[in-house]
Order: sequence, then structure tokens, then C-alpha cells
Amino acid sequence: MKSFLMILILSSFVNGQDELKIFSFINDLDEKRFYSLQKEVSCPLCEGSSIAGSNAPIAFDIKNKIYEEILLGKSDEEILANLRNIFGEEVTYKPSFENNIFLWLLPFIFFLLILFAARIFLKKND
Amino acid sequence: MKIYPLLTILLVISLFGLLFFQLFLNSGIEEFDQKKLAPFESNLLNGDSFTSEELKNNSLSLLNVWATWCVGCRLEHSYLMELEKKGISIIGINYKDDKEKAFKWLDQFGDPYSENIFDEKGEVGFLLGVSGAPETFLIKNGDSVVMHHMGVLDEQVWNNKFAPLIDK
Repeated sequence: MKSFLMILILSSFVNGQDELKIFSFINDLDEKRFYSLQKEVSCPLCEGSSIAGSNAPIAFDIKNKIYEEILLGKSDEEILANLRNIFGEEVTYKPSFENNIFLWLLPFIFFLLILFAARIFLKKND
Repeated sequence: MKIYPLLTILLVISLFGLLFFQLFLNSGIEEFDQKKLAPFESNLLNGDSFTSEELKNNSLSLLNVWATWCVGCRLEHSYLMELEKKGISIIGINYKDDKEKAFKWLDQFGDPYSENIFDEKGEVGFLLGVSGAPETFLIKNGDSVVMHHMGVLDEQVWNNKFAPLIDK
């Protein structure tokens, strides 16, 4: 039993090597940015989860990259743009405006259509 | 007066038509946006150094991400051997792996790679957008990535995704 426990503890050290790194920040704002950025990046390996909620090795690598770039003083948008550049457009939940103009304008198109329809409807009721 | 309802209906139909059309546009052959290969430098398994410039020696090469801990890599290994026999240059990226285990693997199952990059910490992999193993890149003229396939590379994947790009 004792040896079993020992093995369990030791193996957790081997597998958990990466996770043992603690991300420490001097200022609170950077720490907040670190955690909020994680929620905006999807994990490329595990569909339907952000890297914040993933223990996949690649999720850790991306967190580490975000950490390093925050320490280098890069802005949120720079960090996300860099990740999009590496892993593709789908890696951030919010699609970039330049490449998805139609998508971003769609709600406005629908809004105009509804206004249009409402106008006709109201006129008919007069 | 009567033109407004007509116009609205026309607009709605054309909008749905557009969305419907896009639905079919995305199915079928998987599109891949060409990308420039991020330049990198690393060591090889045998200790020599390697830069991505050396890829320019071949007009066409495969970058194959593999590791001894990766089950899918074992599955695709025999097909990689076949590709190598066909004369395709395959450069391996030994991803987050152990050197000794890697050499053992190559002794045991054969070595389809012309060179093997030793990416112990996954840094080269990260630059290329690798999220796990196995993954395979098709590189043209040493600097443009024309395909990035995630998962096992077998004959079917080769014929559907890679072969059409090579003939182009």
C-alpha cells in the first residue's frame, strides 16, 4: 500500500511537471488579463473548451505563451492576433473583424430588415 | 406602395439563399489557406543543428510531427515508410519526446525520415501551430505550407488531401 502511494505521488510529479509551474505576476491588472485572455482562446485539441478549462498539454503551452507575452508588455489584441496567426482564425472565440465583415454586419442587416417589415406592418394597420 | 413588401421578401430570400449557398461551399473538399512557414532553428536528433532554410533544398517536403508516446504515430508509421520509398522527402519533428526512446523506435520500426528535428519542449511545434501528434505539413518550395493535417496520415488521407495539391 505504502509503495503504491509512493508510486502514485512520484508519477504525479512526472506527469504534472508542466502544471507545477506557477504563473506569478507583480501587478494585479496583468494577472486579470492573463485569466480573461485564457477564456477567449479555444483549445485547438479539445473542441468546445477554452484553454482556461483544459489540461491538455497544448493548452498549457498556449497559457505559457500568453504569460510570456504579457510580461513582454504586449497588448491583448497583439497576443490574440499572434495566436490566430499560428493556430488559425478559429482559435479565438471572437472572430476578427477584417476577415469576417459579413458576419459582423449580419445583425445590422437583420435589424434593418425588421425595421423595414415593421414599417410595412404599421402602415397596413393604419 | 406595393413595392416595399416585395422588396422585403426578395431581401429575405436572397439572404437565406446566400447562407444556404455558403453551407454547401464549406462541405466537400477541405479548403486550406496557404501560409508562410514560420522560420525556425533547432537541433536534430543526432545533435546537428537545423534551420528551416534547409527545407528549400526540396521543392516538396513533408514535415511529420511524431513521438514515441503517440499511438496514432505508430499507426501511420508504415504508411510513412511507403511514402519514403516513393521518393518523398519526409522530415520528422520528434515532439516532446525522449531521445533514447526515439532512437529505439526508429531502430525497431524503420526510419522514413531524411532528418529528424529534436523538439524536446515543443517549441518548434508551437511556432508551426502543432497542437498534438501526429500532424503532417506539406511544404512547397521550402517556405509555403499548403496543407496542415491533424491526425493519422493514411492512404485515404494522402489521396484526398495531399495528392491533389502535389499535382497542382
